[in-house]
Amino acid sequence: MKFGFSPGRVDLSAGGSRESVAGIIGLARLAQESGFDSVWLDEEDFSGGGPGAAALVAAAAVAARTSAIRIGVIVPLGLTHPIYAAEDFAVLDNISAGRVIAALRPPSGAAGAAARFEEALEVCLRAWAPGPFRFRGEHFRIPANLPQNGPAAALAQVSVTPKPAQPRLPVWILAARFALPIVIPAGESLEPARSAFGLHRELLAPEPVGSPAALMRDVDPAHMEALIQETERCRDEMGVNYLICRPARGTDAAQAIALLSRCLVPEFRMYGYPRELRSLTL
Amino acid sequence: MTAAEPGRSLEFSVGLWGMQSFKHAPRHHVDLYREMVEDACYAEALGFSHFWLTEHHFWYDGYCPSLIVGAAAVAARTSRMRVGTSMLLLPLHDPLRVAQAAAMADIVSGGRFDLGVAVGYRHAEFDAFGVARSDRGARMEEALDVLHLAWTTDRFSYHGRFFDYEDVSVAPKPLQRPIPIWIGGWAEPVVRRAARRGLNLMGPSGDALRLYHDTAREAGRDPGGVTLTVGGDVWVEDDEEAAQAEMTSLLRYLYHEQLGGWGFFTNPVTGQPVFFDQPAILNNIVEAAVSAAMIGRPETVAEKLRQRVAMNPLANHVFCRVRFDSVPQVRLHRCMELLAKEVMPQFQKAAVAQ
Repeated sequence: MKFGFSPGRVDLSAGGSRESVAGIIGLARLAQESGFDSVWLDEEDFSGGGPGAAALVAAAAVAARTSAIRIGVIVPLGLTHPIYAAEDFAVLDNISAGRVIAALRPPSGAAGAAARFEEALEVCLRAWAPGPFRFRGEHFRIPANLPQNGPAAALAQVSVTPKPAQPRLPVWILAARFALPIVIPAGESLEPARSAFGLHRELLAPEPVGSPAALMRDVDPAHMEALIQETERCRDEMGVNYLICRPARGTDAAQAIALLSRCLVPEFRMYGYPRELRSLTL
Repeated sequence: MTAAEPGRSLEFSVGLWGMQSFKHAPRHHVDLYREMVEDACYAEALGFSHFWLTEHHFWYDGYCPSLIVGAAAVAARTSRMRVGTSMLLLPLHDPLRVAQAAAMADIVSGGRFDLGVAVGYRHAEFDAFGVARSDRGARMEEALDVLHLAWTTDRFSYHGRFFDYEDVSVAPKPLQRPIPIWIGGWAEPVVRRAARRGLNLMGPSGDALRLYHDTAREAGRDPGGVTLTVGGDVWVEDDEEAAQAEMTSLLRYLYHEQLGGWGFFTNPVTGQPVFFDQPAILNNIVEAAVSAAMIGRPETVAEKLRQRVAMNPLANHVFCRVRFDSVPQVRLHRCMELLAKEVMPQFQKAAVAQ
């Protein structure tokens, strides 16, 4: 099982400050030093949604100050032209030397959002693949071949460059209906997550093995024993193989990283450690 | 001997980082972005005022398409030098998305972000984004309005030809209210646009700077507070002959590729862009660009720059394009060091006072 860390909501209501970003960078470095697999930034937490580029920009700052930890960036896709996100992720993957996970969220609310998301996802996957592409959808036409654009009106294809550093940029989806790795931002109740993971498993059948099935949870390290048991249940009953820990409101994030890395993570990663050690740290 | 006139102290900025792995000298992009951050740290230590990134799209060499993401990486590793885009091709973008990204870069940098914007020209870039190239000026005007509203008001409505928003609130807000905007370009409408809006101007010199001052005054603005640039391609090296020979040939190659491949120049007779299909005209433009470069030992470059500064009394900022892809990093750093230590002090007030 793998573990991610999310610093959660960033208070930028007063305009933000360099300290607020320095805080995120500090937590990302601490998570890296403590052996977490990934740190997660969500556009929702930075700008409250919208076209969504603030989390990608913050992720570049995190990438520049970390060296090993993967960086998951959750962005809504389909609100604007998908090539913007495709290019930003590709550059970010090069800045981070191939540590990026692109976590894409169907935008909520907007009319026709689901259809736009599906087209935008297709465009991104083609943009990140080697070589040029041509796309003809209901919402996006690439290249557009507008007659006003002179010599470009006849272009057959477009190549988005640079390509991501990873041979295949990890693309995770915040919805169950795609045959791609899934990440579910769970609320208080685990029931919606349970049905999402079930649907996703059916979609991937007969070979779901190895595909990330990630669950984001608000965790309170003060109740470590309950957290370990819940994580076991999520793993055994839902097939969750990736837990992204977001400190519950009111908990100290740095302290949470220290406790989670010593008490929760070893239960699922350090198989065979002498049980006598457990009571010493728990 | 000093070049600066009394009371005139010029800041020096460096560009243009585009992270190209072009056919002439292929590189791994991970290395190019790592070197970008290292170059920025060194530029800051040398005392340059700004570090500029440059944007294009869909070109085979991976020319950086995401300047604000790149700028944030630089900002996270520097602390004093300003970091900016030269130029973000604003008509190709969604202005709310740019507003959010730029605000975040401003926060990451602690208020050191500058947004340089230009209209762009490459037909294929407009077409891939579904934008008519002929709309670029009008889209630029609307996008500049939207950026200003997004950064300076809590909620706003905007109803334009291209962008339409009803009672939107844009977060995050930048630390600088607003983020300084620079306009890049040479054409008269571009200079007038910058002057009417009171924005900084990057690129043109000579008559364009006078046009800027005149237009600003007509619009009731004091042009005294804005930044107007002088500069261009700069290469400083210890060995005069090697610098001239190598850099002239490299610049000739780079300009040939970009001007020929992208149709930057429009043939005034036919009104059509000049690609590789018009080699005689292309060669003339390339040679003009190459001969304008300031190349040589520090004293040579200082003298060429002195002439250019003298011809542009309204400029208060020296932009030096020192980064050319395929030049090894160690040579770039020596060039920046010579520029900062041997040339720059001759144009700054402290030198005049001594």
